[in-house]
Amino acid sequence: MRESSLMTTAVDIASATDPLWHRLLSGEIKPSYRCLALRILMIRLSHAYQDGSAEKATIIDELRNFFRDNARFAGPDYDTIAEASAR
Amino acid sequence: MTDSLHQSAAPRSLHSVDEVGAMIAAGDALLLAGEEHLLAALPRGRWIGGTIPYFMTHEDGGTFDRDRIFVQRLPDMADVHAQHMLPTDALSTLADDGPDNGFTVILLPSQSPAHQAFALRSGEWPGVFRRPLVGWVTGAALDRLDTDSPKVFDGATGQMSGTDAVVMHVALPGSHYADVDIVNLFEPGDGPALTFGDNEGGDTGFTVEHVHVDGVRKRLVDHIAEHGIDTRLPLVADYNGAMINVATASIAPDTGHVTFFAPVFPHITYRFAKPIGDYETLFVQQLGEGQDTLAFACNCILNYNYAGLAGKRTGDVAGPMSFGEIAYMLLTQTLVYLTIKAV
Repeated sequence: MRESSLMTTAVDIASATDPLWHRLLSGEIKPSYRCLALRILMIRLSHAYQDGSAEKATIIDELRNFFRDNARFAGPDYDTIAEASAR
Repeated sequence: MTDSLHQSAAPRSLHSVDEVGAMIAAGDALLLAGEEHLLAALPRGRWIGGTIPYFMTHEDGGTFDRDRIFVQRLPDMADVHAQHMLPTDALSTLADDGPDNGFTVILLPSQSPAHQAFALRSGEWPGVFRRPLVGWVTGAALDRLDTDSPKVFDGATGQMSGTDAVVMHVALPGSHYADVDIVNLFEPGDGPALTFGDNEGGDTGFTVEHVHVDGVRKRLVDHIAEHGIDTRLPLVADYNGAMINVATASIAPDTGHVTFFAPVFPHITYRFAKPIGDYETLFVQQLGEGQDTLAFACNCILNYNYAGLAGKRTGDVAGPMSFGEIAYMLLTQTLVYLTIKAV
């Protein structure tokens, strides 16, 4: 199941159970990000995900919320991540 | 960046108290910077401000001015959604009363509890990334730090603080959105990888004694001396492609403690930066050309001082030269800007 962002209809955000999130946060895929906010945020989230210092579901929710709240400028980065995960 | 910036309706950056008072009376939404006695003389209205007498201006480039106020007027499409002081124990909620679409500006008095808390912990506050967040750390003339203390002002109430943050949430119409980026002229050098932190959580933050140099623990002050490092060059960390600086504030030879203008964190790899060439030319090259509306910018007092930016320009970008820059997190020796773009 995918949900549309409040900010734009151009980006559908993958559900929390989509393997995209694990592949991204575990470092299995390492796409390049364009937006500053995501570059900074992913430092903490990926570290917390990999060292187990926070609940993985909580981390995924925070990242999904980021894309929901900032889809207008983070949408292209989300598309890049989705494409990298689909390969 | 690929698009160019254009700061709207701002032929002049510095204005008298009377001129700024007239803007406030006309209902303009303003982000202000200047000396304390100037900001304290302004009427109430839709403005926030902070103390600093160093600016990058449209009219004269880099300028030191203790008699006029630096003005960033928000574009007409922007509306002040909320503004208020925020004490340190409530800083983690800074995003809570902002708009769905817009951005937030935060000003922090240098060396205040709010400054320390934001620098050390803001990355853990999920709300920080809810919408674009920019701002700067307020200061004072470098030769008056013994007598003048950094302040922030909430123009809505006339309240002034040297301890709390002031926040302005700005709403944008659905036709537009805000985006934040930085220009950092520094790149990591070819020296060893530096990491901070011990098993007890020490040796991180604003002041450290030890560092791991390519994994070997030693005193940072010894590493700096042995390699003749110019500490005007910041430590640089690669945050997924964003180069984040940590500038050195002071070294205490008696204790071996090194103090920074922003914290160093565990699990981050730093390197001292490569020397750079002409700041003015490099800023222009990195700022590029385009049509976006620039709503906010600030740059670092260290860039102003180390690069001799007095009388020089950073492209068409104007802003206060601050004691710390904010783009979601505390930065140093970095130009921060926020643009407003059409959907």
